[in-house]
Amino acid sequence: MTVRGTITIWAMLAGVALGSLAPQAAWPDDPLRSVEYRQQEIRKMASAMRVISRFLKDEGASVADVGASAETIHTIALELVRGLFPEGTAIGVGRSGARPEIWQQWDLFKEQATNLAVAAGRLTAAAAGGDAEAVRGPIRAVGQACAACHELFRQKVP
Amino acid sequence: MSVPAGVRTLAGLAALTLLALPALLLLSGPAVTASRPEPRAERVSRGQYVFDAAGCLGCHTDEVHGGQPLAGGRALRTSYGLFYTPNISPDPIYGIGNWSDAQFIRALRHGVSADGTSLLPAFPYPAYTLMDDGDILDLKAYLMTRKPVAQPNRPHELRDPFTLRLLMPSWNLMFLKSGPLDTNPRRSAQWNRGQYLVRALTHCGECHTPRTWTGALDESRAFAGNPASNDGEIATNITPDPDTGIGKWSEADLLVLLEIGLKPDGDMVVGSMAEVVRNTTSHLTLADRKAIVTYLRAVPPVRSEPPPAAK
Repeated sequence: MTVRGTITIWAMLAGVALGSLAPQAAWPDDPLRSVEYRQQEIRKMASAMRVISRFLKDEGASVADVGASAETIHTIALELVRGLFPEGTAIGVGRSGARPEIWQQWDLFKEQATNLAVAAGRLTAAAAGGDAEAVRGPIRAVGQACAACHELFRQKVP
Repeated sequence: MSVPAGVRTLAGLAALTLLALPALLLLSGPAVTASRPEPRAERVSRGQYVFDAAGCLGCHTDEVHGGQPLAGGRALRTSYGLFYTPNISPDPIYGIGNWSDAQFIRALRHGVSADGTSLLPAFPYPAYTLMDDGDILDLKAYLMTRKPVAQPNRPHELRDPFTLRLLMPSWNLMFLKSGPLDTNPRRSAQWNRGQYLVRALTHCGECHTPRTWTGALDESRAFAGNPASNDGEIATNITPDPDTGIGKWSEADLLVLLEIGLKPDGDMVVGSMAEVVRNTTSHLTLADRKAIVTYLRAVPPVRSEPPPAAK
């Protein structure tokens, strides 16, 4: 890993630790609007993953695009436990697919969200190195962090 | 994978068990001589690849409860009750440490355990039977290098275990098409490799092909998805049908899914397929992933009604 990559990854890890001290975004306090806002943010993560997918498929996305996408995912991952999942926004509110286990097992949810933030930080660092092969492993780790959380806490809403 | 579902005519099939006895006697001592001159390290290395491709680790490890690798004990929920996977570590008492090459081949080829009892097709021997002897023995060579775990097998919690075991010889006689798999000379090497991977090693059909009332795979709808797959999951249609299958997916879409688990819509696969990606397809060579895609894109398209919902 390059010096720049090492610095970036520590910056990202520090971001995870300091996330709770950062200024709070203007999260909606109405449950329905909270769900809509959350889904808008999560759609941004899915869009970022689609860019990463285009990179993997050699369909025009560059390593730098992967890095930018990873930063988007990292930023939103930090938001997950800070304000994107207020109580009272489980399945039943709008099109929410958030299982009640999120709040019943909040520490585990927080751990999963942190795993995603760390994995996205590592991917950002790897992409900063510019090596197309070196990002494949970190991409897989980001994907696994997404899937691990979905497995436990998401109900797919048609 | 899932086990046979919905067997209703147990009594009728039980009568056929008698017919199967001669076949069982034949199977009790297969004339397998395994003299392979290759260095052991090469066999072990190839065996590790077979081990990953066949997905042995996931089922034979109770990962959720912190179980040791290959010590078994993972619960598989089926319509017959709970199966607990057995210990396949090289422990001589509780695992397969004392199994001969012939016994190991017989288990995978014919579904018969070292002690002569019928295995149940929660173990996907109807797919593994298609493996060639070399791969089976390489797999065994690798398993013997794993850490032995002295953990006894947990008894299954089945509704009628005695009848089930009694029926298996008849079931095998009627439905088991023993391998190894034949090469199709009219198809490319890549297609043939794909067929071998999909049909034998990675056993995709065990989840993605629906079953008949006997519990056998319904080959007329091969890979068309199974709305009642293992652990209550929906296995999707992976035939090239454009509306309900993977007909609109590009080769690159499928390769990314097999390598990373990432779908074209930016979502990740979850459930059993996530495990398959983690333990199996992500470990395959790119050439083998391409072979799988080549084969699947060439199977007959089958429309599934209603389309299994994507996970």
